[in-house]
Amino acid sequence: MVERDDFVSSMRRQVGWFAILGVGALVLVLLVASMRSNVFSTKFFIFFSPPSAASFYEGQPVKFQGFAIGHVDNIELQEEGKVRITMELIDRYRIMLHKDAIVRVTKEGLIGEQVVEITAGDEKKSSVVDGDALRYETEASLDQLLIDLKPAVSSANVLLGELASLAKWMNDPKGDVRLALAGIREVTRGVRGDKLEAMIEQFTATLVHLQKFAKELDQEQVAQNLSKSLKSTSEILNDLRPLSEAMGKKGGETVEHMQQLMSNIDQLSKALNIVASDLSELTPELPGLARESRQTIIEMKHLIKNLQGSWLVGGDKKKQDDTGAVAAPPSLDLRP
Amino acid sequence: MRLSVVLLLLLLQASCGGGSGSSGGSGKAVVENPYREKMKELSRNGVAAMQKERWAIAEKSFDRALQAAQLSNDPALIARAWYNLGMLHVSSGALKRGESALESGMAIANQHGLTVSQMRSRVALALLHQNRGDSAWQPEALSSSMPIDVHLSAARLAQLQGRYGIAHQEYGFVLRAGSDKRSGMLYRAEAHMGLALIAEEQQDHQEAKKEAATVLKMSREIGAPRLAAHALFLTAMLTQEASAKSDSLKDALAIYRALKDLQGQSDTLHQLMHIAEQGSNTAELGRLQRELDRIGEKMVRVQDEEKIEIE
Repeated sequence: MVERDDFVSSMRRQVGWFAILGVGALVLVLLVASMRSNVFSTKFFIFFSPPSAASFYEGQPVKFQGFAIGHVDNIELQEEGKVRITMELIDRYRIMLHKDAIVRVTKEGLIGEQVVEITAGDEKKSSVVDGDALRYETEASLDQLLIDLKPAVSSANVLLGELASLAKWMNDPKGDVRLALAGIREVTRGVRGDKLEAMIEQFTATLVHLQKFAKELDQEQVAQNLSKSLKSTSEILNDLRPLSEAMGKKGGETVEHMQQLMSNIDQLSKALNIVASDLSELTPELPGLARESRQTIIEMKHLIKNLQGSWLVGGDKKKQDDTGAVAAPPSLDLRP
Repeated sequence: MRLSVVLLLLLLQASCGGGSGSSGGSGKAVVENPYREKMKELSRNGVAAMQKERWAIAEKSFDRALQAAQLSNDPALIARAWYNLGMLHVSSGALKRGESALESGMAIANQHGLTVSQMRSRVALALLHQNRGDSAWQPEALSSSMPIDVHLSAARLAQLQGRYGIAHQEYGFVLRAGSDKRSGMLYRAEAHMGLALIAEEQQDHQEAKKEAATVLKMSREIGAPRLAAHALFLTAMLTQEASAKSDSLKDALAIYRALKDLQGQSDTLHQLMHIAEQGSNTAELGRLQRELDRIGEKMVRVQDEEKIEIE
């Protein structure tokens, strides 16, 4: 009987220890997990007001210098239609964030989850305090930049339209009596390769190509299309150069056409450059360059330079301070 | 796929930095200072960003353009880079920084006898002083060899100084010389706006309305929202009929809101409140007053921030 009581009490002790250890382990795990996720850290709240809540969700991580320092706690639409987002941040990072810190949404890579990022702000300014509102800044998205690309494409279409009309004008003996009389054969002697008709065909093909490009901006093979279009443009210019050098000697009308052409090329280049500038800021480290396309663009730029040098009458008579660099528009403040 | 577009555009930018490709088969080597080309490209980018009021990108471009100009060691380019930076600061409201940059540009232009740069900076500084209420230089009509933007600034300066004859003459030059491209049309639209304001000051309301209508038409064509808002506001000021006046003001307010132009919003709300008062529309009056209060608070905040920045 005594032996049986001892057995029962021993079993009870063992079960008791087992239960205590189990609960203890569970508490320990919970404690470690809580500490790792900063559950017990002191928090503070700051706000910002983006134009739209589309890129945000509750629980979205908030990062500072790549470290998660909190999350989006609440998203609300206020009475006047303004979005107000509350971030819950760990208090120990508060001193690192200053009054003019900026909030923005970034992607961790080209693809991937969007995170809210806070900049440190000016160190000379005081640190943020609980309840502060920070400025929100929109970072250009790839989609927006692709939308910005569309005017560049339309400029390319204008440019190629000009090229086509230029070639037609040059090739039409009835269109210009002076040229017909002077002998079109003489002025077209320098043209490399085949007949001018072939050049016009090439123009048309390039135009179709660019129109296709504009339509397929958001689809496959867009880059290849752009590359081909630029290559074709370069080839066209290459063919036009000797012809137009000869034509440039014949009269002012050619010069006017060329000036228009130059201005269009310049416009295209400018439009593409601003997009490229934005894109390079968005994605500073992109590897690899397509050699063929690069060469095409370099060739095109040099051709433009040569064309400007050889055709434009009075081009070398620039004033001393005519730098060729564009001047910023005046600030007039024409408010009534 | 999008990555490939990015790549292609990046290589375009890379090519802007110059390259040592052949000269298109002519056989003649083209020797160029790469910093000069870089400066020009960056300036173009800056101006394009400035026209879209993307101040941060424009500042970055102009800063880099100044560096490139300094590396090219070309005084004309350095003067132009300082001018561009100055105009950017003036346009974005950082007047002190703008003035200092314009003075730097003018000093270089004076030193090297760069007449166009000198005149451009001088007129811009005079406009700045005039707007600040200081005594400003009063130029006579400029030579036709000066660029169109200098004529436009000189016209506005003369207008603010009440020298309407000179202002008319200079605005007239801009209207004649402005091209049919967007930049030329923008200058012409601004000249029409200047003429509209002169007509309004001279109580010639019919002429002012006609000019404002031209500004509106051109602004819509080229996409100049701030100018369109100013023209709408002016049209409203010149309109007697309450509902047409209110419509113009509401259109102007929508643009000012989108542009976050607090002064424009405040002016327009005051006018709308005046109409609501006359119509005894108390509900509308209350709503407008609340919006005006919010705008007022924002303006105070912005002014405080500007004071801190100056200090």
